[in-house]
Order: sequence, then C-alpha cells, then structure tokens
Amino acid sequence: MKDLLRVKSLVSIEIESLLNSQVKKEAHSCAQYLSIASWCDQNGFDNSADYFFKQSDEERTHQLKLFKYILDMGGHAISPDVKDIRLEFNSFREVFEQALEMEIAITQSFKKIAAACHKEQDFVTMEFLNWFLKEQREEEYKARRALELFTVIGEDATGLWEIDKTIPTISYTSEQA
Amino acid sequence: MNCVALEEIFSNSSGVVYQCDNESCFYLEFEGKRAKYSVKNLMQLKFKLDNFKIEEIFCVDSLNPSGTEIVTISTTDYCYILNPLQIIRFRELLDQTFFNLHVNQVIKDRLHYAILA
Repeated sequence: MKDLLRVKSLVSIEIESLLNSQVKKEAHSCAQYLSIASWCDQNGFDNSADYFFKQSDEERTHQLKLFKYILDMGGHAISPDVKDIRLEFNSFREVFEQALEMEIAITQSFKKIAAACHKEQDFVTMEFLNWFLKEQREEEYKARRALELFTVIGEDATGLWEIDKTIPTISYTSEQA
Repeated sequence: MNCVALEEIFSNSSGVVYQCDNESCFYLEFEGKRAKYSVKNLMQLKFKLDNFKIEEIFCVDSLNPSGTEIVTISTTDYCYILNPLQIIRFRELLDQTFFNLHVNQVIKDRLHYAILA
C-alpha cells in the first residue's frame, strides 16, 4: 500500500501544525512591533520608532519564510488571524521589556519545534530551522542590550533622549567574520 | 467506486475509509454516504471537524443552540450536515484512519525505504 501522506508532503501533520503555529506567532510579533512603533512615534521617540518598524518588517519576513517552506514541502500553510495586540504602555522602558519578552517567547517556541523535529528525525526541517535559531541569538541579544541601556545611561534628565539616540546603534557583531 | 485496488484503512459502526493506490485517493463512507477525497481534502475535512468546539454548543449563550454544523470542503461537491454526536463519531473515524495511515508510514519507512537506501 502506498504511503499517500508521505507522497503528498515531506513534513508530518504534527510538524506542519507546529510550523503553522509559528507562522501565527511571527504574525503576532509583526503586528505587536508595529503597535510599539506607533507608541514610540506618538511619544517622541523617533529613533526607537524606526527601530521597531524594522523589527516588524523582519518578523513579517520570518513569517513568510515559514509560510513558503510549508507550501514548498507540500503542506497546507494557514494565513493566521492576529488578535490581542497591546496598544498602550506605561513607560518607554516597558516597551523594551515587552520586546525582550516577545523574543524569548519566540526562541522557546523554536526550541519546541526543533525538539519535535529531533523526535521525528525530520532533519530536513531541522536544517531549515537552524537559520531561525541563529537569528534568535541576534534578536535576543539586541532586545537585551536595549533594555540594559536604561541601567547604563539612566532615565533621569536627558536619559530617555540619550537612550532613544543610542537604540539604532545596537548591532550584533560577535559572529561577523 | 470504480477503483479495483481498494484497501481498507479503518472501519467502525459509523463508517469505513478505503485507500485506492491507483487513483492515490481515499473513499470515505460515513453513515451510508460515500465520498472520494484526495489526501489534501481528507486532511482538510479532519482539520474542520477537529476545530468545532462541541462544548460551546451547550453554553447558555450559544450562537448555535441546535448544534448543527454544515461541513463542506472546497474543490469537492460533498456536504455534510452534522449534529454534535455525528461530529464526535466522524472525528473518531478519521482519528483512527490517520493513526493507521501513520502506522503504514512507519512500516513503509522501515521496510521499503530502508531497503532502497
């Protein structure tokens, strides 16, 4: 008897479902970063607004990368609905705390998919995921560095202005050749 | 059913699912109604059935107090009108079907692809 499931798709139903969940999470992050960019702009933090616009674009790129992989492997990619976007923040610092929380949640989620791939011996998807795992190293580093600026520079006097000015200079260079 | 190479995947009191290797499709019979599905369509059908929230039907403020659901799959002509009990039975049929397909996948991997590799 033919294995029709395998003939149709390289990835199993379980992995496909996990990847679709990740598409949804990336879409949520994309929308949440856009909301944060809006808050920063409205409160006069122009540099940070630009930083979060770029972050939003990156999340959208990640979402599409996952979406196309599911389709390319013969799966059913599901365009997600996005709900529960936070619009208001109590402080400039809270914005960056939220950003770091989001990145940690995304890393944890990728780790779960990687664990499922190992369990199923789906090394093809695992190889695809490696790019995202590496990307998360950079994303978490940048989010953590941004939050650390609040301690290093301080929030008194022109501190917030200085932090906003410094945000665009954060980059992850440790792995550059 | 014109297909001659049918193999039963699973059957219970609600219905039966056959696989046809010649046409690379499934024949599904549920409570006397017969339908032909591609792999993709059968997965879509399972996805739709799994996503009905049965418990919400019994809520006081339910938007669907009758509990009747209409299930259609795009690119097919089939339509099911199901009550909650039928949804549960249909789920059982497809759950077991996909479990057996997964077992077939494991066997195929161990016996067939392992020899080819």
